[in-house]
Amino acid sequence: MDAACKKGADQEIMERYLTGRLSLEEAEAFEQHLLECQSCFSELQWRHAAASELRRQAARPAVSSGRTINYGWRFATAAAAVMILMAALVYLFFLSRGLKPDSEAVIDQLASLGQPPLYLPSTIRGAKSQPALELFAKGMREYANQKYHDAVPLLESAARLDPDHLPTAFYLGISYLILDQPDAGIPWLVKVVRADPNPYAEEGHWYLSKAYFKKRDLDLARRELEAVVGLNGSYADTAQKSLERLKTLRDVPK
Amino acid sequence: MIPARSSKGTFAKVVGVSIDETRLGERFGPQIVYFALRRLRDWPLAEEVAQKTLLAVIQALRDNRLRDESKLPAFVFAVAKNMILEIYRKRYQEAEANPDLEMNFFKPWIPDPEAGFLLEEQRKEVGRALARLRPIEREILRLSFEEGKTGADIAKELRMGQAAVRKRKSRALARLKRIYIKMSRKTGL
Repeated sequence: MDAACKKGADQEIMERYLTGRLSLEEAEAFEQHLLECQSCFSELQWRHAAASELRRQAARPAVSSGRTINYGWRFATAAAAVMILMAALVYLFFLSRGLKPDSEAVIDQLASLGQPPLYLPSTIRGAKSQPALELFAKGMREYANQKYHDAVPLLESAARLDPDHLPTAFYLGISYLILDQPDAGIPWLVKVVRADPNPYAEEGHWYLSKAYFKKRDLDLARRELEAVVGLNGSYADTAQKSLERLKTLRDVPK
Repeated sequence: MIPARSSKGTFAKVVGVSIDETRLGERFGPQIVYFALRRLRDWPLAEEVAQKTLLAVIQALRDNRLRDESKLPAFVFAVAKNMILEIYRKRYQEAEANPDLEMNFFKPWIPDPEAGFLLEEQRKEVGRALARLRPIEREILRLSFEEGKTGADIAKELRMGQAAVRKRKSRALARLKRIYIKMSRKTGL
């Protein structure tokens, strides 16, 4: 990277761009910079390559296996004894909940939303004459800027005016999930998946499974994942992998 | 494709400076494809946006519509952005013309479609480089790149100090880059 490049030196901005956490204005300013600075674009490309590959690697290593604990040799025996005791306690704790010891971590991973669905704000024709659409457009501008707290009331108002507008229901459900409020998001996503026909069916089931994972309702989460697999779309493979991971958990309700 | 030579010659005159038209594609093409792909999530459409943008920029240069060469990147970006917005406008029009297709405007979100931007060989290289990192380093990068977590979030999740996360991450990135560059040189990619 060019040492004189201040933007490139700001590693944070590159990561936030890659993970879609920059505001629209920030992202556009950064993209303009990428047109001017080849070294930053190259840096972004290899980082993107790394991010894609990390995402692709389905089998994720257990964090604990990679942690290097630098205890001194003289404490090694004591440390090992403490660790064995702790492991036994952890095992008993999870056993009492009917799950394997690493189940919580697996469910957390399955509940993780990753990058939220992308939305590019744009002028919606006819929005000015239709209050519901106007509110939706305003809400989605907040959503695109990752201001989900601000997006929710606007989308709620839009949904009250036009309850059948599926994009409103979908992004409202997603916003609640991002805000870690699965109970509030589930009814909207259920509304989305029940609509027929609709282009949100697959995404709706996918994010509904995430909501149920967040609530630790594995049975409903599995049902949603099976629906995703059944639709055989772009999420089918990922959903199948999630189902396989779910099967590795003990005592999953059938 | 960008024409190799125009009727006015390869170079477009821009108030005292000349810009090599044939190098515009090389200079801006990959970036435009990348930006378009992020927004449209459609590989052929992204390529089309890049082609049309470059042609429009060349035309503007020939017409002397750009007075300052330093503003060329901003100009290219503005043209590309307009091309993308035009596609969005068309989608809205289609949706309005046919209410049954209304939802087609909202294209399904596919996780990481830009991954198609990478060559398979390049991907393998990165995979090999990642495999040579320590598992904890991989996990930090994954949480950071894939889940978009901040240093503080990662530190909390992995029960580590923030400084330790920062140190391990920057070490992992430097190591990954070193391996990647070394492998790239070896494979010539």
